[in-house]
Amino acid sequence: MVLYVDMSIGSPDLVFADLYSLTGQDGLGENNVLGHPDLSMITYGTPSTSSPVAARIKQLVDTAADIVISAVPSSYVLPNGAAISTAAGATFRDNTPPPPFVIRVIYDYEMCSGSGYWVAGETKPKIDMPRAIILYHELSHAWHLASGTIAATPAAEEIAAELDENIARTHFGEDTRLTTSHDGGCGSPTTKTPDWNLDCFIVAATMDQQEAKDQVDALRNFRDSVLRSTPVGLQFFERLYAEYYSYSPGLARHVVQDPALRAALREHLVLPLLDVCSWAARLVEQGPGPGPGLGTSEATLNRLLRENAFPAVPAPRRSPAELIQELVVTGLLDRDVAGRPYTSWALLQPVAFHAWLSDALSRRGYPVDRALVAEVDGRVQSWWARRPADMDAAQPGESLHTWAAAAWSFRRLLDEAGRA
Amino acid sequence: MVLALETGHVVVDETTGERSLSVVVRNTGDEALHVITGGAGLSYDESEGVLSVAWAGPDPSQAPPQIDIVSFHPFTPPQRVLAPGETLVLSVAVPNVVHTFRPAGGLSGLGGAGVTVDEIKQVQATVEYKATPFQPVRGAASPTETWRQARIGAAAAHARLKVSSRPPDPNPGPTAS
Repeated sequence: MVLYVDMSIGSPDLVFADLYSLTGQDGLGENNVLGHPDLSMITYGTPSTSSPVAARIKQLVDTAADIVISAVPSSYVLPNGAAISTAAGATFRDNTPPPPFVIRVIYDYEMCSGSGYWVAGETKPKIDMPRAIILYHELSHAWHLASGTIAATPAAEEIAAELDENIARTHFGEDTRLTTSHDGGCGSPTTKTPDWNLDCFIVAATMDQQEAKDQVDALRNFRDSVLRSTPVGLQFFERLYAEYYSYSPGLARHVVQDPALRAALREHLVLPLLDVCSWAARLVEQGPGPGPGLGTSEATLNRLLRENAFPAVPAPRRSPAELIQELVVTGLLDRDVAGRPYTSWALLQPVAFHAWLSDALSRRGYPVDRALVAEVDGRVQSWWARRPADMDAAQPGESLHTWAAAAWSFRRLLDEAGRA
Repeated sequence: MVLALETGHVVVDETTGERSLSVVVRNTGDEALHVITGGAGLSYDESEGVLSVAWAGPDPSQAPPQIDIVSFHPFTPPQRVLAPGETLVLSVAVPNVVHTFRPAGGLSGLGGAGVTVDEIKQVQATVEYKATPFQPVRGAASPTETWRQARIGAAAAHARLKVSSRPPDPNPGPTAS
């Protein structure tokens, strides 16, 4: 009577990530299964929210049936000979002896080899089918099967699952699905990441729900309305996410279940990164200065640091490199994570910058003098010069100044449009 | 209404090392054909180096008796209209390992070893086509029935092709038949 994750194929980390995304990070855990090293048992305490999605996951965990979730590659061949990518997901009762018989939920974690899926929407011809929603749809079938509420015909059962799916879609603010159609296929109609609400996964995993929501919303807003508004910005995030998703679900899976690890990541990476991002967002919103780098003046920098109460968090006791090394040693991260160009440049180096600036401000105090302004500007320019070699491919030769200027112009247009 | 399967090629991406298989098909008949361009299940015969691939609609009735499929609602497969005499390159990514469901019984994972796709010497290709679009009928009693109806009037071309590593012309265009 348990919900299991199949550890023997595909990406168990992403199953956990999707369950985490659906439940809102609250109370999920996992246990080893005696005699079944290829399975992990999902545990889930009482949800602290009134989310219908979380309630459904709780029902599944507590149901009197064995349900095994397998996240498989797009080429996985189902019992009927079809690749999983022809349907995105499938659910069946596996009556192969010996008992116990199990309910199998299978879904495509590679999202049609990276192209994503679309389905017919109620108000749009094509809407996105995020990976966690595929899982939720299949878990709906599993629940109907386990609870004896399965519909009389496959067609009626499909509509029932799509109605369930729409409850989740509404809860998460997604477009709802047209339940009279099962049209769909490969190719996401949006630029959303397949990881859906998991784009700031580690941030969310290390903070409490409301705190995470506020911070993650602010980061998403800065990312989507400013940083991704230029070709370089758009391409940059695609590449950063490609790196990030390769290690973050696995790490977050441990973070959720390990309070000490959660505290360490929060102190050494997440809070400093949020702090420096918040500061950078305000800097960009000031508009470009006259200089070649940040182009910001002494007065502006002073004002920004003070207004933002920077640093909002103290410099951590250890450097991000030391923490990463510890995670590598304990097997939670691959050895090469710190060396991945976008991770290093966009996540780790800004944290190191935060530590340096925090230290400098604590020693030299306010107001910031001209020498420190020059040093900040020099470090930022130096950081920009160390950007990944392939980052300029979308717009060769783009400078920090022009990126910031373009982002600022776009933001101003948005503001004007909002006022109009 | 005839579709000919002409040549097969394996193309290796030099950057990623990922392989894709391409098969060139030609409409040798005198009416336009709707050709399925989405790949269904792959399989690989290790002893002979044969990769089997079907650009075909799903066949939900294939499931073994001990498997009771509750949810498998395949999407309408992608299709292309091929004019008489015209050729088309069908492509599919070739995974390094093909995983296929193998009933293990009881509480278990689905992992198994999978089949490693080594050298591809030949391809056993199947391509399904018909004169009208493959359009699953809404409201059928089951996916099996949906696809039985969608297949009315359809045919499948089969061929075993030797494969080369030469990439196909991406725009072969209409050719004289």
